[in-house]
Amino acid sequence: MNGLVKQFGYLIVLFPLLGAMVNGFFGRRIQARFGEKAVGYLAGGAVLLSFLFSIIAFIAIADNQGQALVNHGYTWIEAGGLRVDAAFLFDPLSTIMLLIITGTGFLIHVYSMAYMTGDPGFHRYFAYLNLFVFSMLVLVLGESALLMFVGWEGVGLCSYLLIGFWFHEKANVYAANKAFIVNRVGDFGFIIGLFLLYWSLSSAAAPLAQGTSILSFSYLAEHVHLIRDSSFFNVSLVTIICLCLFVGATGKSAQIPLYVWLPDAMAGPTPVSALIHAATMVTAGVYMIGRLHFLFAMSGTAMAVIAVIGAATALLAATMGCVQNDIKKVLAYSTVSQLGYMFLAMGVGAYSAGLFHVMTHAFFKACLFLGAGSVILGMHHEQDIRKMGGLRKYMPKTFATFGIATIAIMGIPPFSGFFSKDEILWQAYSSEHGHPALWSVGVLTAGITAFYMSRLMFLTFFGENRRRQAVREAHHPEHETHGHHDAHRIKESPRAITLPLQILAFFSIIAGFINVPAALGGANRFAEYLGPIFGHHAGQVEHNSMEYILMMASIGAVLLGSGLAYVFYIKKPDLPRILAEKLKHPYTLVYNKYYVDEIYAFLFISGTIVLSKVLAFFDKYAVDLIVNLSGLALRTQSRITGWFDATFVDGTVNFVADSTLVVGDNVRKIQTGRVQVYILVLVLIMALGIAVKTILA
Amino acid sequence: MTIGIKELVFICVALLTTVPCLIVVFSRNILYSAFALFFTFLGTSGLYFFLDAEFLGITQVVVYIGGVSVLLLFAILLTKNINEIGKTNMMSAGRMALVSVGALALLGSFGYALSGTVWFHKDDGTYPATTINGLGDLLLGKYLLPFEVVSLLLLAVLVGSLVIARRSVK
Amino acid sequence: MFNMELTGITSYLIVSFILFLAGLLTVVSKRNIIGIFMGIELILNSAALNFAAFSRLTAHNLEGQMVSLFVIVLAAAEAAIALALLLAVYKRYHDISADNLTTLRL
Repeated sequence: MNGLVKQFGYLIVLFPLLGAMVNGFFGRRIQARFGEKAVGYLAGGAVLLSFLFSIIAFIAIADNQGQALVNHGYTWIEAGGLRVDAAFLFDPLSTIMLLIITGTGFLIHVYSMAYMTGDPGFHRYFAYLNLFVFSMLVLVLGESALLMFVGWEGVGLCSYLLIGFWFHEKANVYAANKAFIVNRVGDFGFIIGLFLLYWSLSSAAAPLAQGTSILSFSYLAEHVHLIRDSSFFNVSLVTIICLCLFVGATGKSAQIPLYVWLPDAMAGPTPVSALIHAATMVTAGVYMIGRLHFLFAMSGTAMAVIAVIGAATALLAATMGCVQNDIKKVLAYSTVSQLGYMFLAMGVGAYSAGLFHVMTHAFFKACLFLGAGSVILGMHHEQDIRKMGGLRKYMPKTFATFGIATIAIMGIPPFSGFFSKDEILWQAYSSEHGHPALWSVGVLTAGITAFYMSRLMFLTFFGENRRRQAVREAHHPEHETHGHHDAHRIKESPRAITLPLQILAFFSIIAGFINVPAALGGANRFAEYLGPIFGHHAGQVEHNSMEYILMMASIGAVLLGSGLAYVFYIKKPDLPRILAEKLKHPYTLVYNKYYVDEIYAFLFISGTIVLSKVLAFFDKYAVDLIVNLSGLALRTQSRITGWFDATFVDGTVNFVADSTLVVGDNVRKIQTGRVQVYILVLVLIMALGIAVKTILA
Repeated sequence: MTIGIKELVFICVALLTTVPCLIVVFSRNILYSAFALFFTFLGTSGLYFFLDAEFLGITQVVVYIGGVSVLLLFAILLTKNINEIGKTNMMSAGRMALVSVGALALLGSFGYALSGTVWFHKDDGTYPATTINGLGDLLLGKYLLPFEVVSLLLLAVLVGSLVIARRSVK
Repeated sequence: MFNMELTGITSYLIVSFILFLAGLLTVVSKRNIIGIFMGIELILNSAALNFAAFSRLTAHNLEGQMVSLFVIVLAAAEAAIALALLLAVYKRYHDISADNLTTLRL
């Protein structure tokens, strides 16, 4: 098995790439000949194959006691001292991510076949989706930091392509641009970090390092301690590197300050939101920190920054999620908030806890997004929850799965969310990098999460359907049960949609059980599996009663939040409106997302626009001036040369011709036609001759 | 230089030749010129007689004076402009000036050459008393071909002048 | 010079040269065609006189006179033709001024 993985591991990455290329180049023809189903099967089949192979890899690694297996490809770059190999690293961390990516990816492909039917860009969608899976796999399997960065950029690109999928709407295009540009800002920091890492490591390990692939993770893990003491203007170099890399992570994983693109990214199709912005791409930052945990562990400052930002983002996003009215936007802010939890975990050193939350979050968030997609389909593309309601009657399967996922995200035992979130909160409190303040922020966020998720549930699925009410009141008393109400009939989505929902809901329930903490009698199997990478809970704190108290506290916060939502939206539905009017200013502030977008526009974008105007002015008047002047000089010089040529050169030629004419004209006058003149001339010359001869003789 | 009767007569004849000749040149009236020419021919004929060339002298009178001069007068008659007869033989002053220069040069050269030349005298030449026999002998003897050619020429001239000067056929 | 014979060759040469120069002057400067023709006759005359003088005084034979004869004959023939041409020209142009008959020029 090990040999298989080492030899054929690249196939996992190759299948989605092939699917993308076939659908990309021939998709239109395939769709025309064989129908939409063929395109969907092609794409989904590629991911399914990758999933099956991932299972094989996972088993191989598990059998191998977690030793890493590397599938060497070829030497990609060899320039000067820099050497990068194209190779794929299979170890517990990457195989877990593989399973998550390919598993949820496959389910979302199946879902997309039903969700996107009839769309004119059907084959294009699947080509992009496959390309995204390929990029994400390269990201997690890359054996070198540079190869990981290739995947990093690739997922950014695919995110742009898929957010702006319906590019005929300007708003979608702007959202895609925003995503890409903000991502790019993060990538800039990431690259700086890579540069610094390479530079410092190659100079620290100098003579031995020539010709070896410095940026490969194995090399980094072994030799990164060499730069522990280097400093850059009196700041520890390791801290700078870690902060730069974290900037990249904030861009990709939507943390403060670069989270602004994620809510706008909801302009893309819902399965895209589910796959990219819930389960996979946004977790790339977390993965990256996990991969380079040895580097981050060397800088306490960086870890503290990560934890604080993670916690702050979690809280901020949760507050913003409370007042959103678009079902997908609520889920988007929820994603940002949950990502904050993951970074909080990584920041306090609880790497396996963070990755465990990645896994459970993938399940329930994907389920929530796909459920939202089902709701949108059922409501005929209505996304405002104020117009929904009572959907549990019309879409029972969706209601059930959505409900399960909501309970999971709120963190109510024994659903998966509880185990992962609780582990994070415990580590935030008790780990050596942790702090009770971080824990309290986490608990508060959990409560707010419960509030807004319950709000979402209640407004969407409970009560009366407000749109039908509005329709009924508008058409009352004329036709109530008329035929054209068929257009407003709400029914359950087809099986291709509900089946993935059910599978994901199932996993949301049971996934928690693989990492039951010792405090509750479990074996922490997930953390053990990742042990070869992160260490077997080094410095594991003993279980004390604190853990149980904290568990109770978090459950209490969740129930409080949920109950509050119940009061607001079921018992007294007028209460939210009254409160909003009473607290108008805070409400407006939160509703407008703290005006962060506007602040950014003012600070950065207007500055950029001014700069571009200045440069355009400079270009127009300075550069163009120089160009025009040189053009003018050239024209003048050519005119002078032309004048010279016309006057002197042509003059000489013309002079020769003219003088010939003049001489000819004058000589012609000798021929007067009068014989007498001829005789005269004759006589004169004769006389002259004779005279001369006589004189001389 | 002995000036006897012979020399005197010679001078008169020479003057008879050259003075009308100058009148021919400088006269503005064409009739005056024509008549002066007439006298020049006469003088020349006299000079021929002085040279013991009687036949030549008579021929000169007959042909030149009786033929050419009359012809000339006829031509003047046919083409003259009676009203302004005094201005029929104008000359161009410019050309006259120029050619006078040339003529003077020639004269000078001629004089210079003449003064230094010793003429060849053929001593054994027989010069007959009457020339006509000798001319006849030469004409039909040594100069027969030129004689015949000249007669042909005269025939051509005869016909040709008729053709050239005839009235155009309507 | 003054001890030459007056009736010697020199005098005849002088006379014929004067005739020749006069003829030349006439030919060159006269405007009337008949005037020009008179000049030609003078020139021919001077040549004939020259030949005759040389034949009598230097060569002592008749050959020079032969030439003079031919000259006279030819002069007459030429006169006939020339005046016929003149008449033809006069009929065409009604003008016998040599300055106006310039169609020979380029």
